[in-house]
Amino acid sequence: MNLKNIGLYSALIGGITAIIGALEVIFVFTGTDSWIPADLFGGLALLVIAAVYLSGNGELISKQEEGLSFALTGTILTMVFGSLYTLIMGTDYLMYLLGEADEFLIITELRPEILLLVATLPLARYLIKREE
Amino acid sequence: MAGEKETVIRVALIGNPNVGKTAIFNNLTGSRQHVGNWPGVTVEKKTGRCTHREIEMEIVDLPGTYSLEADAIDERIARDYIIDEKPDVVVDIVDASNIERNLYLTLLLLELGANVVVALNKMDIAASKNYEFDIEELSLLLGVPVIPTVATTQSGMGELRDAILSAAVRREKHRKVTIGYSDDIEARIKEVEELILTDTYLANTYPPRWLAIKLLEKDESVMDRISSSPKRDQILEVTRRVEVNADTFAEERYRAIDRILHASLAGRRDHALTTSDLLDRVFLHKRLGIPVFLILMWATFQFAFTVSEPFMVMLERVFGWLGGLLGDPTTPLISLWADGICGGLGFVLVFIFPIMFLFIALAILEDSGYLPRAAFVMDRLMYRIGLHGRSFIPMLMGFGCNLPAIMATRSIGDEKDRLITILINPLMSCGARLPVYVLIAGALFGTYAGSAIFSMYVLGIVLAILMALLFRRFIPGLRGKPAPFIMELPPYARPAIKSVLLYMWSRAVVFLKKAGTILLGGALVLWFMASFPWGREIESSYAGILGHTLEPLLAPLGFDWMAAIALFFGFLAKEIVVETFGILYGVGGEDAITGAVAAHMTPVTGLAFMAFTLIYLPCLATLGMVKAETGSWKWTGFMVLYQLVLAYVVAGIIVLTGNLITGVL
Repeated sequence: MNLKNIGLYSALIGGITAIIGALEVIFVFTGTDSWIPADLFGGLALLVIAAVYLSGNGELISKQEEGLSFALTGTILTMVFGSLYTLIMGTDYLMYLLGEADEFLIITELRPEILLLVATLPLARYLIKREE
Repeated sequence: MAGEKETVIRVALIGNPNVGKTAIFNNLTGSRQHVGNWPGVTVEKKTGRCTHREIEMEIVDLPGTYSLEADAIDERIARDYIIDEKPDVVVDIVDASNIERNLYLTLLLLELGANVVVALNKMDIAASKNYEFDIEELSLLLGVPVIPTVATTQSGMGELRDAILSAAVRREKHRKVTIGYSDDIEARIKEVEELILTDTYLANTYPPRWLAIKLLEKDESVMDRISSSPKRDQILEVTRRVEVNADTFAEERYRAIDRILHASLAGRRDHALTTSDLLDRVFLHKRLGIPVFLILMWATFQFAFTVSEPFMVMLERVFGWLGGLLGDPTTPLISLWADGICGGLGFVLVFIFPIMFLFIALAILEDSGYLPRAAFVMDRLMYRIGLHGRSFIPMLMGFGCNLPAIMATRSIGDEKDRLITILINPLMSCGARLPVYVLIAGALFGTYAGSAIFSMYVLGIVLAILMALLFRRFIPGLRGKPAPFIMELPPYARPAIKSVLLYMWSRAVVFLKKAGTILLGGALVLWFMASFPWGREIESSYAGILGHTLEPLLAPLGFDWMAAIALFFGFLAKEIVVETFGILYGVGGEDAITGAVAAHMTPVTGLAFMAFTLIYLPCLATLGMVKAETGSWKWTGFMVLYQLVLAYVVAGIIVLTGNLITGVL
């Protein structure tokens, strides 16, 4: 991937992150029941991550290496939150096994943050290669 | 002195923080160490001994310092020791991977006329950065021996000992100055120096050139040192006349460092952006830095609370099973076991898991190099509101435990800055409060429990900042501007699993020790108070009587008598708040403690209770430390008073606005 493509890809990820984050916040107030959970703090966290991604687009698209800062940090933050929700999914399953939860549905446990983690893997791969 | 039989060579170790000074001290002294305090202050003083080539050395580990300006207690101790005690050799430990900043202290030591040996440490890290030192050239330019070392592998320790012995033997009283300033500055230094030489006492007590430079830099503690000199007025008159901008000296020293490194170091990359550079652009970003810090802290508390849940459930079941082993608590002895030990102490022990997970996350953030960046980002905000940048480190430590955090304020030089930091530190939510939040939030906030806990930490930070601002503006004796702050940002690193687990375990051990002492004692007292007179309803037990006496004070906040007694005993240690609920609900015959909490509190009163627990008082041990560090009952009393008032006001606001929102009012 060249810098311009990274810029376009991180703009895409940033845009999706911003939309999901905004919906998580909005659903808190509308009470909407959806696959995207109503989560005020989780939504705000996604909006911050989106801001990180989108802040570097200008530099990346104009092929300035400094713009990688935002793609790199955005990727790290997405991975932190994706890993967090994967761990929470695991503990929810444990709670279900312990009889503390009535049900365990993968569809409600598979938060968008986990899917975003998967979507950032190409960026992560590029950044790891660059580091090496 | 050295060279004579049976003399002891006195060696001082000095260096910037995090250069491996302690590792070198340990390598040199082994187990022959003594830990005490520096005279008149509570800063730790470590001394040790070693014998090399049949010559005894006494080694003093000076506090880590970036300069010798005497702004902070640590810097003052280091400088006064070198000036007043005149050690035979000063070993300056320099981080080779960060040499530019480290050499600044070296130049200050050379100006001070110390008999310096440079230990060029972390050579392995420098090599990984492709740094190639010309050691001989560096030694020639500095005019002192330079010994490459790697403290972690003990490499270069024998050579360092040899260099110390040689330096002690060859000690030169008047070392040739190799680091010169520009001609204009040198002329002014010379003028002041010549005047100093006319006072025999000053000339014999202090290096005249150093004294002249410090006077031109307007160093207040040096001004004090010449206060009794008969030449004082003349010296001050000349320093006023030949005035030099204080920053000029620092700039010229850095120019000298640049010249030295240009001649003695190859391989410094000025070069492609490193990963550290890239990350710092975002983590230190003036707009994104703080939001990123906040979401990482939120993730930390989500992790600590949610991931620990199943483990807590499992341990709770173990204690439930143990508590039921002796049957129904129909006799005092069985009740002591079931309600006091298993229901009280056992119930608190369950909270070891969120504590362990919290410290795993904090250790990862610290070891990765992120936490110092968080301090840097917050410093900008803190300075704007009148707090010293160094305050953030003790405040960050307060998330772990307020007691060492208050001790850590010793690194703050300015007394006002230090006092403000001590006064607001208990508002930083320590690990002991976490069980209270976990219990209440888990019982009342469901999937939002993690966010509710996070909000307590944010509330603590916000209140700390607000109180600092108020103190700075309105309390006589605390008014003024904070001193500027220099901070080291270590390189980012992958956290080592072993180091993370050790850090987590050290915090867990603190909790377990507490459980075996004060929490066990608290459980026994509380069980006795809740169970006696035996056979009565809990409402008319000693605990019930005390709780009902306190209840009117807290009733406006919606807290019942059990909450009142929990807060009363929570003054000893915050975990006792949870223990109290465990015992009172257990003795009262309620099985599920979280269910009982939900029955006794609404989410609004629960949130108010969490806020009250956060603010109302630090634990007894912390209060003792505040008295020791401020040396004042007046300030200790002031802290107790303001925290009690603040807790009441904040909890009251939460109850009032919460009830308005939920429509209770």
